[in-house]
Amino acid sequence: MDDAPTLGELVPRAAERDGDAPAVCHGGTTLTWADAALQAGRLGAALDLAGVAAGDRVGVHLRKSPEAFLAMHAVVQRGAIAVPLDPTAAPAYLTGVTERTGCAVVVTHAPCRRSALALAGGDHPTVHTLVGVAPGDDTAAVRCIGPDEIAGLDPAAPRAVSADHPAYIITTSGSTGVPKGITHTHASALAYVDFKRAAYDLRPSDRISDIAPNHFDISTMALWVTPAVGAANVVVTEPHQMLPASLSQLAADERISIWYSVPYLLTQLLDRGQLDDRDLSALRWVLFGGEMFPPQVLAALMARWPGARFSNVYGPAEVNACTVHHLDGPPRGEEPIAVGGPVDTTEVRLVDLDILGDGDDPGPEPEPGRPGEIWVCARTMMAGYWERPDLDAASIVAGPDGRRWYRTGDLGHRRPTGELVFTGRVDHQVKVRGHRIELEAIEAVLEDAPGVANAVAAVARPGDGADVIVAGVVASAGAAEPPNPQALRRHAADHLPAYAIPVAFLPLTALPTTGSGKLDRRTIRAELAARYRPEGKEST
Amino acid sequence: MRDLASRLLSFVQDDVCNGSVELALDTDLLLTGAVDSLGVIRITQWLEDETGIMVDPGHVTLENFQTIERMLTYVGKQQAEQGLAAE
Repeated sequence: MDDAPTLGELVPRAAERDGDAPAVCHGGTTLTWADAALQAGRLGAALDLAGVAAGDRVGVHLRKSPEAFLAMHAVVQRGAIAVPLDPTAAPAYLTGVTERTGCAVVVTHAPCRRSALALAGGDHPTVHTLVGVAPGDDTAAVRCIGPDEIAGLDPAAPRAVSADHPAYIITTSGSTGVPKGITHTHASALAYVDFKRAAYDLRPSDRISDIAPNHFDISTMALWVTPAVGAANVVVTEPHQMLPASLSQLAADERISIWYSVPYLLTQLLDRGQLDDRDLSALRWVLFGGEMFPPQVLAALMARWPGARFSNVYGPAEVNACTVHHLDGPPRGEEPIAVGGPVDTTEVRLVDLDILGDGDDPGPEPEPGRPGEIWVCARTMMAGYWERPDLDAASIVAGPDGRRWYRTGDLGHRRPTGELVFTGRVDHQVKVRGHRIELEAIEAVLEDAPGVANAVAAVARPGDGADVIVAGVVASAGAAEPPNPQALRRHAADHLPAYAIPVAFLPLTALPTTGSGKLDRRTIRAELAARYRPEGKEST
Repeated sequence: MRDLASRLLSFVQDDVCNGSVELALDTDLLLTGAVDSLGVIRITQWLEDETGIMVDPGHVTLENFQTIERMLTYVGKQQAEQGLAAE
């Protein structure tokens, strides 16, 4: 199989190899690779019309859809840098992202029309053109290049760029609440493609699930791998993900062969997916990652699908999902599932916590069972954080051999067998349904809200399923009344990604402090987690 | 007591969506992101508590839960099938 030199060549080459093969499947309709190449080329021509040059950032503001797949490919084909946005986030949060990355053009579609228009509003809009929605009475402030106009354009051929050119930026909330942009290049993404193709023996006959939101790094596997392999990309829409019985029906109808999602969705499938009534015999490999999978739930799922292999995928977005642990059999007991060792593209090492901060020499690995920080050196690693050399300096170190290592901030230990196990974080980052959330960012944002003196964020586990974020707030001295939860929610939504908005704001009065006089956040977090009850559940 | 349609609408709008959106009976709750998966679970519990029907997990599908209108149709069918009196 020929290797594409850049991401922009992937779809055109897939169309040359087998233009009639299925490319993107959605809602019972299928685009072939010839269709996909034509449509991505036309969208690329629309980007040219909007004035997009190589290196420009282009927002991608779309629901899970064939358009989202085509938009990402069209942007990288222009040598521009795609910035996938969360269409469910508040406009103020999204304009923070588009301003920080300098997006002048955003690709969108009709279902996101209103929120896309909001990106071009505000005090200092950087966005001047929307591609994918037609002009109308509501578009006076922004130029629109609509679907009809795009359909009439001659497709543009991919623009040549070098492999170390940035291709896309995944944004995640930093610890201060300011989003940081993880910038991947064509080379790092193509290394990721190589790794995935080899690790799962991916073939043209595969039908790969495209589940994760576009702004979540897990989504990049189906996006880049399917054209590289010539496999089909099966779009799984957001509504399906909320209704496990519909999700399992789609997996059966579309004969998905490769599944990749956070464990949460698989748990939902097992609990409420009506699996007795679904034929999922096409499923040959289940990949999960982004958070820890409760071993007993995984064992139950493996018993359900004896024909499928199961793999735990590990790697922060900065290095892509760079390593994998293939399970030989169901996990035993409550032992956490290993995260995997080195592969062709990746080296992983554990660094003794005692020597951290003593320069760049990581020294020998800690003994088995002793904790260390996980460092990764991989061809799949990002170029760096977008215009944040301070963050690069804090997390990227040159090893003794001169190669770049990424300090993940993840803690782990080795088993005597050499397997690496993830055990937690060196900081206060948590995972909720696979999304990275910095508790300090939520606290910083809430402490900026009017009437709030202090805020503490915590993860609560209501017992009936998924973890949620709850916040405790202390009113400012002299405030007439406690901060209003509705106002706090709106303030949080304006400054945080949708998945980081607390579901409850609980008033705090007694505030334990540590020996040094700081808020004892650990104790307060435990108290908040214990106090939280989902609404409407008090009586049960 | 208000009818089921308006009570369900206020429950979804005020409690599940925290008053952050204006909903109509035919708003696509799932595609617009107004309701997430936890919201769906809360709605099914509310329907069971308020109408007495048992919601079979296999019925929690796009066909029955995409809009408030579809939920009401589903509840009506279940009340008939499960021998419960509609309001």
